[in-house]
Amino acid sequence: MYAWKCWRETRASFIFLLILSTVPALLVTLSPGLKEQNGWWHFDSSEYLRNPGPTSQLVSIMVLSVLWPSGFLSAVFLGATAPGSEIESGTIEYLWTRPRWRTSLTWTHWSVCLAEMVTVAVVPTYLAAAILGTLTRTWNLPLLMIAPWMMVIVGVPMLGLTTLMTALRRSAKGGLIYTAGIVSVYLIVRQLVTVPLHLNLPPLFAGPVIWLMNNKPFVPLSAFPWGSLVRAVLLAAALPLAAQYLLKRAEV
Amino acid sequence: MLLHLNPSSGVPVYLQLEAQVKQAVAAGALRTGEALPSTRRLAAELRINPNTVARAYQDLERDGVTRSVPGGGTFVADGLPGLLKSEKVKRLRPHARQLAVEGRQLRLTREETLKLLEEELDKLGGQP
Amino acid sequence: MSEAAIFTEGLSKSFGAQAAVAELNLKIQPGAVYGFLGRNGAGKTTTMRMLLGLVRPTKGSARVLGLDPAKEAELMCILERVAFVPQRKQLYGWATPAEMVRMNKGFFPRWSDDGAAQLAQRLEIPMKTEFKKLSIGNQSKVALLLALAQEAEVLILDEPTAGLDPVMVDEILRTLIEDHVSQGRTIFVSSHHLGEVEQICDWVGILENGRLLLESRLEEIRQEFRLVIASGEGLPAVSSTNVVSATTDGRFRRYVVSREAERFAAELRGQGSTILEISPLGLRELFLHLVQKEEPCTLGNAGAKPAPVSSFS
Repeated sequence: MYAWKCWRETRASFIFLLILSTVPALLVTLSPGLKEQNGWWHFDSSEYLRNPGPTSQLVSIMVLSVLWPSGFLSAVFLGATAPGSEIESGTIEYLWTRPRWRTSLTWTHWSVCLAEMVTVAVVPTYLAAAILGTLTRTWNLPLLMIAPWMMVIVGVPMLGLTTLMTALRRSAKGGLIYTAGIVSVYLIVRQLVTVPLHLNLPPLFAGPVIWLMNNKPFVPLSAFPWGSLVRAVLLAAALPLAAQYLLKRAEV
Repeated sequence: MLLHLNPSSGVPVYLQLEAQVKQAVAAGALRTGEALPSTRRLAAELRINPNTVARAYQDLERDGVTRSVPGGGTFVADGLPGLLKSEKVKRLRPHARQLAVEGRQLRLTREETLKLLEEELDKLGGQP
Repeated sequence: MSEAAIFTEGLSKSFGAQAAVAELNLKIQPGAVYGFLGRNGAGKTTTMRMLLGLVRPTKGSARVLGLDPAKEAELMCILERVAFVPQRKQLYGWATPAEMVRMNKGFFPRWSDDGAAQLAQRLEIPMKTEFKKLSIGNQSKVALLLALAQEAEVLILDEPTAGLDPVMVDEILRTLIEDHVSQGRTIFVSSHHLGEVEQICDWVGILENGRLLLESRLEEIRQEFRLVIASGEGLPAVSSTNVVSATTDGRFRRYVVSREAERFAAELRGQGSTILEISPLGLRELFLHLVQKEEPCTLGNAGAKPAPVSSFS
């Protein structure tokens, strides 16, 4: 029943994120064909058939440029409702006096958020792919096919971070603020060290999405940022585990 | 059942209950063979602890005012003309005690206190 | 002898330097209805939260149904069999009572749908209104509904009737007695509605500054406890373990005696005091006498082995 509660509570955010990603994605997908005619809009699908290959590629990249932060954003907004947030709101006295292990509550919430993240990533990209494929009559759309999964991989550590920060600060707002703070500090520091230390650090875990954006989906595997991927997976596991540990011993 | 309890009277609730049941029986408001409500229901109606009702019911049965049936249920026992003597004595004792204590406090002698009591009894008249 | 439903031994909790609960020893038998009384901040809520694993004791131990709430595995068993109404009856703002009932049901195998529906009706809860839009009274009622419909063996209720109108309070009492006390369930309730506590409880424990000042059967309080008011010049020192509290008011002294009031009064008289009154005490009066004090009260469970702290000279 707690899974239902997680869904219900994140439902509004989920719908908002879904709409916010699907609408722009669709607009971008249809943009090549939208032309003016007689003072009003007219859709010309022939645009897609003229150069189907390059058009697909171009549109795919445009869609990704709109959607790439999807993983991060959905992770953060959905993750802020983790069990830790209920401490400040007062409902923790209800939740933690139900016969459920605190650990299972943390991971149930995480799972529901993950499912929602996947949906928010997959729906707009695959919808765009379906439309694009239909219009160009070519179904070779590797970028759009793997994009959502890369976005999710990169978003999961953020989900973990938000879950942990929420547990640490014991509130949704505090969790969000601290998450934003940590991300900002990380980005600033990462930029700063490039000059004095001549250190060009690879992205901590955002590699897969950046790689995607640089439009090299099927180059030799060695060019894939495996280090980033590994770090993403490790963080995705470690951060919620830390949250789990914090909450297990928490007193409210 | 129309019972009324006074929680701040200093008289234990179970005694109040017993007294009221006996009064009702004596006055004929509760007839022989009539069923008393179950412990649970009476407790719920009066918003008091069932143990209190149970105790009152036990005492009433012990005094022969009511009897219980193996299947369950408490009924007014038959043929008893109101209160038993022992019960009457028990009810009166606190008043007697109070009279004795107050008499002592006011430094009245035993004779004076007893005389007071007799005077009051005389005033009532009626049966000796 | 059966195992106590709620048992604490030297239970203590300090928040920093502040002791919220100190050396609390409770032993509540199954089926008892125990009224846990005390002023705000006396430590009642902290005690209850320790029993439910929301807070861990600094010292001492607690057992509910023989299980230790500080150990998560045992706590799970406790939570299946114990219903709790917290002091802050906050639930999910977006949920309607009907949704909360559906959600709660999933946690408890013994949940009774009919029972819940009946109770919701009796308590006049608007089941389709979002929790955040409910009045505080209605919010409390929802919290109560969730706990009472659980059909738990033990009910731990922290000020369950706070903020409710008298009709609702009455309804709650009726429900507690009819559906819970009469089923032999244990009720551990804290409340400021002393009149109601007096009606339904078997036992009463009075907490002050984290310590149990007095613990007694209500029957005993009615039958044995007496207020003795005496006057006299220089009221002499009386050492009696039966004196629960003593206050001075000019030439008058008010003693609360836990038993043998007559003998105590006789002793006082023997020392030259005049006894003005020996009267029974209602729970409210007893409570006020104990916690509104000018002199420290004797600590410990009156009637057990208290350590008289004050000297009455």
